[in-house]
Amino acid sequence: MTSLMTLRQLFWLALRREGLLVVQKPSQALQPLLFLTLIMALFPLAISPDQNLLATIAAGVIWIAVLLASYLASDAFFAEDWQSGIIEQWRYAPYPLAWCVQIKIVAHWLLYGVSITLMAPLLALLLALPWSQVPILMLTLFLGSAIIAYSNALAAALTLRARSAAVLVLLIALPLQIPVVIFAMAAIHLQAGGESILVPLAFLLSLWLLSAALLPLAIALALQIMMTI
Amino acid sequence: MSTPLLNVTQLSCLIEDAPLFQPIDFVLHTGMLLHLQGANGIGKTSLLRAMMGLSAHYQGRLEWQVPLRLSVGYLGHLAGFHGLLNPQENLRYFAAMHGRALTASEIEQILRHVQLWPYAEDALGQLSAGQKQRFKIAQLLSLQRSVWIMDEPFTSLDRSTCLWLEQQMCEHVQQGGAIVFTSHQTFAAVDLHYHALNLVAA
Repeated sequence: MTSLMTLRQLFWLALRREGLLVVQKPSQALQPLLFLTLIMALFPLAISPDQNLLATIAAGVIWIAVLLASYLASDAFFAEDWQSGIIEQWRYAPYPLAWCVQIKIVAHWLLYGVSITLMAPLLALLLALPWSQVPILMLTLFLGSAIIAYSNALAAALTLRARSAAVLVLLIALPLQIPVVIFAMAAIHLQAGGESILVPLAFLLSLWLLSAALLPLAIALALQIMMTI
Repeated sequence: MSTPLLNVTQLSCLIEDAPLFQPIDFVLHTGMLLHLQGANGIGKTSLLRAMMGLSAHYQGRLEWQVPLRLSVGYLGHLAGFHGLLNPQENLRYFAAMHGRALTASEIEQILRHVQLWPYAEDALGQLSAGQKQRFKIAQLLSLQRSVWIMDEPFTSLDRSTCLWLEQQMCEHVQQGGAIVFTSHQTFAAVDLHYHALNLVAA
């Protein structure tokens, strides 16, 4: 009996697979990023090109757009792996189902969360956000996109068998993500006012750790139930 | 010497709490090739899924004597691969999911063995049904498990590949493995290891 490959090896292989899928289907991967950029381009046109006004609302607009963009393909998060029987494989693989779920979510977040974070300076430029606020915006997007990835995955798992899942995903995931937006915006506003951002950041960090620790278990359970009914 | 791998006692799969077929009893031993037969819809796939722990809709007892997740390989109806990725990438990920790290040369060896090496760079989704079936056989072989649970392994395969697969299966049980499979075809290479089990409607 050869020994099992370590979870770290499995993680890198799964990340590699997600990356290859992005290369194979660039349109699907770029869709949320393109959507984000378009919204940002529309705001100055629709509201006002006034730099001061835009600068006040910029961070909030970026955060709302990131949240909405994250829903674009989230109802399909598990759909392909479900239909092709990959998730069935996870069920009798030697690794716990929750670990397989965890790896998929982290791989997804590393690809999307990081690309959205890296795009933030460009978005900030479009909306005339002061450069001093860009680092904190990037930090909240980086942390926040992880929490968003977990709650979207939970909603996707729960609606796997629903016919029009997109709306349901929104209804399930959005309430879970309201605290993320509140704390992220609090951090940005406090920093703009020159105050300590420790408290909202601590809240974001703990939300992240809580979701990372607990949501894969809940998602695994949801997938388990979806497969036995 | 044959050792018991799986004890099945008074087992019947259920659909809406009604048994699908008359309860069956058997002990799967090493070196055994068990052919499940029965009409469409009798519950062959359900039985295999119950054996794999994928379905709890059954009555009776089903006791593995070996660790299911480490010793048993399953070839089911679902694809188990992503159509946009090529056979090499799919095989690498499949084996990884089940705990095996394949080297590039191992992947080449397995794909050559199922005659898919010429298509190693093509998207798997574009291959023919028979080639996809051969890929599923490659997936099963890649895990090097002692017990094979195979649901309709001969689907879409041409005649010569069917014979080749039969030979692979015979070799596997001769080397101390065990196989449970469903098929509507008659198994040509019948030998001492072969047992047929006919499911009868309840």
